[in-house]
Amino acid sequence: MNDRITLREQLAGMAFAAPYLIGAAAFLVFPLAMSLYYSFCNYSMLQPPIWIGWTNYRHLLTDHAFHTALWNTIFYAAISVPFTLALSLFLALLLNQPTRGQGIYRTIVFLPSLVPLVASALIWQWLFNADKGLINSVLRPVLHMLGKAVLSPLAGMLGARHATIESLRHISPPVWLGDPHWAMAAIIFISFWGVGQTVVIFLAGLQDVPRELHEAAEMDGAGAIHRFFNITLPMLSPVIFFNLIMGIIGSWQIFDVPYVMTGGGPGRSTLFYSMYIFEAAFNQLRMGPACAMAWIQLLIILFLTVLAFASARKWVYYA
Amino acid sequence: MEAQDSSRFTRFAHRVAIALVAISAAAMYVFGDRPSTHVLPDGARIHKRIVVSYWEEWTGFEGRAMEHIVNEFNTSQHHIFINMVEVSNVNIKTLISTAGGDPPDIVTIWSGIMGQFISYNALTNLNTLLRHHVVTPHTFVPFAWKLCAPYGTLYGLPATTDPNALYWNKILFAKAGLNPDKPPTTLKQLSEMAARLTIIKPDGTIKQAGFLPMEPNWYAPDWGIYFGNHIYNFKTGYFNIDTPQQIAAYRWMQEFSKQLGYQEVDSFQSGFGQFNSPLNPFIDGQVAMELQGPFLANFINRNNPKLIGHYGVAPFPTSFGPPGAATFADCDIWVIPRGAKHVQAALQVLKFFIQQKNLEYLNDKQAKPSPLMKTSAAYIRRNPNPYIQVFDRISRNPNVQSLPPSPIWPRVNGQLTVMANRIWMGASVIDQIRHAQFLADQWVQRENHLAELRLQQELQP
Repeated sequence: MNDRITLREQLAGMAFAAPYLIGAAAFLVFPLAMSLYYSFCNYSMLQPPIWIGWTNYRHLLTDHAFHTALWNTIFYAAISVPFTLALSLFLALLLNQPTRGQGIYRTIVFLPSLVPLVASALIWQWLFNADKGLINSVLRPVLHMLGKAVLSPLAGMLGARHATIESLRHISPPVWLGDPHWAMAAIIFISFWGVGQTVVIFLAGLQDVPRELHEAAEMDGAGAIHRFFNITLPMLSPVIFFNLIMGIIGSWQIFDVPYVMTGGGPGRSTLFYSMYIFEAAFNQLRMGPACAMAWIQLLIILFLTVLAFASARKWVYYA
Repeated sequence: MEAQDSSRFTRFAHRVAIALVAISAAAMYVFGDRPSTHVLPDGARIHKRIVVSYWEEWTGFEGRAMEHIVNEFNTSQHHIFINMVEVSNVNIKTLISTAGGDPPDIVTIWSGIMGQFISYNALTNLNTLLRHHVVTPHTFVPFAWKLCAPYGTLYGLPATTDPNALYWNKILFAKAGLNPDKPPTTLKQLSEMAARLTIIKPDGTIKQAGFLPMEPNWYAPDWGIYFGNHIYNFKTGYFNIDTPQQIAAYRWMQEFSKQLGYQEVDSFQSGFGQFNSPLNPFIDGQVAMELQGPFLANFINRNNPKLIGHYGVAPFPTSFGPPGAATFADCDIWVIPRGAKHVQAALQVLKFFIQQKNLEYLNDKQAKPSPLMKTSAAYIRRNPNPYIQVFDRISRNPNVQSLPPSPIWPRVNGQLTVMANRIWMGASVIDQIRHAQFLADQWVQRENHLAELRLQQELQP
């Protein structure tokens, strides 16, 4: 009798799990397997795939646009992830201070992350507009004044050439989205705009740091900085670790903001990995190389995640 | 006790199962397929008609023009009903729906992707229209026919045409001391006039530009045409990028950047509004001369009617002959994707669409020249574009070049755009052009190799 009930329960359990399992098989496992297969095929989506072995992967070795997209993404991830983490932690620490209007400040920091990415990209596009944008409207008089009152006389005193002195008198703000170097800087800067969610997670983590540890350390004469580095930071390390993993994954998937703001330009200076996958698949109808790139992306993210997990043993503390 | 628990559990499981079925049924009812509710323009329901699904790429007033023709068709007979839907990003959506085996019956696509769709066998062959003399190779202007039937087989029918021409602002010409009725006839003259029309503010920034090759930037890959280059070799399928004409073209383009400073131009351009807005730089007088399509006239009419009568349009100068000795044009094309469910009905619809009155109505509303060789005098009179005759002449010009029917054209076009951008920013013209040629050659070779592989597989028993 017991066995029959167990079997029935098992069947019922499987029935309850079935919708998810069927969904996962149809919409996750099957597409994953097919994309792996297509990565070894010549496949335009409009004709049946043809098996070509490692050719797609081999061609990526000599694909300049792929190299550019890969390098741009590495550069973006290397700067945006640590800086976003540091900024989020800093903001979380500030917002954790008992002060009047704490809720309002927390809301203000979180609000930008509620704005859809495309909408915020359009807003930033206008803010970074070189001619009429708010950022340059503020920078222009500041730089002008700085050049005229400080840099130009300084260059004169140092015996600089007339042309240099003159050029310093007319420093103009950057053409943010039209200049290859500044365009990347602008995209990285915008990544800081959406720190709200990371800040909230840090804030939650800060609530879990035992007060008694701080009190004990304070009684032993530890200052605020000592307490931060020796109590808060180690206690927060699992949260930092979580945010680091999410940051790595997110930064490798960046798409919406540069797609709307620069379309990958100027001269591919903001072409990111996911954008190139999209371009190859849906613009150039090269689904094979696009799938190959997607699998390489998965392996890179997996490698970085494994690396983070391996290093976690040394710096993440689970109290 | 255990038996009681088991029975309770069974009842609970049954209820959950029933609830799941009920939720699924409700979802199917709300979101699922349902009987057709199409209605005619007068509100009457369609009865047993074949419903032809039609995806139109244009929205707004351009979409309304097509809707008018669709309504005309729907009320003209009782067998077919066109269900027109305005679809954004129509190229990608057509691709996905065709790959998925459920495409619409008719789509308007941009001629730039015809090569891909033809090469990958994604379009229905329309030669039946040729066999039944509905159309002949001389029904449409040569360039439009070549886009629809690049190698003799007909795969589409032209809807609207976009030949390019030089627009010039007569007010700004007069202010600069130039004859407002005499546009440049050589590229040298164009550069000289551009210099006279350019105004630099005391702080070094640009107030007004005479001519900017990167405005609008969508013609950046095409400058070689005006220097006599033919970008595509129809016989070999290779691209002619590393040619003396192309090098001369991009050196000419880079001169503007060197003279004005690309950063200054970029800063100036960043203040421009959307193409179809009143802040279009030609419409609001920030740029005195522009290479543009006929559609700009519609936006001038809408956004700055004061400019009407104060601007001119002429064939763009060339380096090797009179203006118009070479020019660029493209068009929108009606196609029937492979796997369309109502091919015969779609062919009936296309026959109606290409009737002279319908094509003239559509192109009138879009301020474009008709793709038909035969045009009525009324059409020229009615057209809101005051320079429709100029555009009409250009579109009939046998020297018009258009987009290559190559499956790798979007990739090559992307590289040419990057090349133009980098040259504009000061990179070496020769290096960039050679690099683009190297890549294009490599891609053609790979594409040919893959096509051979495919053929071999198809020939295998």
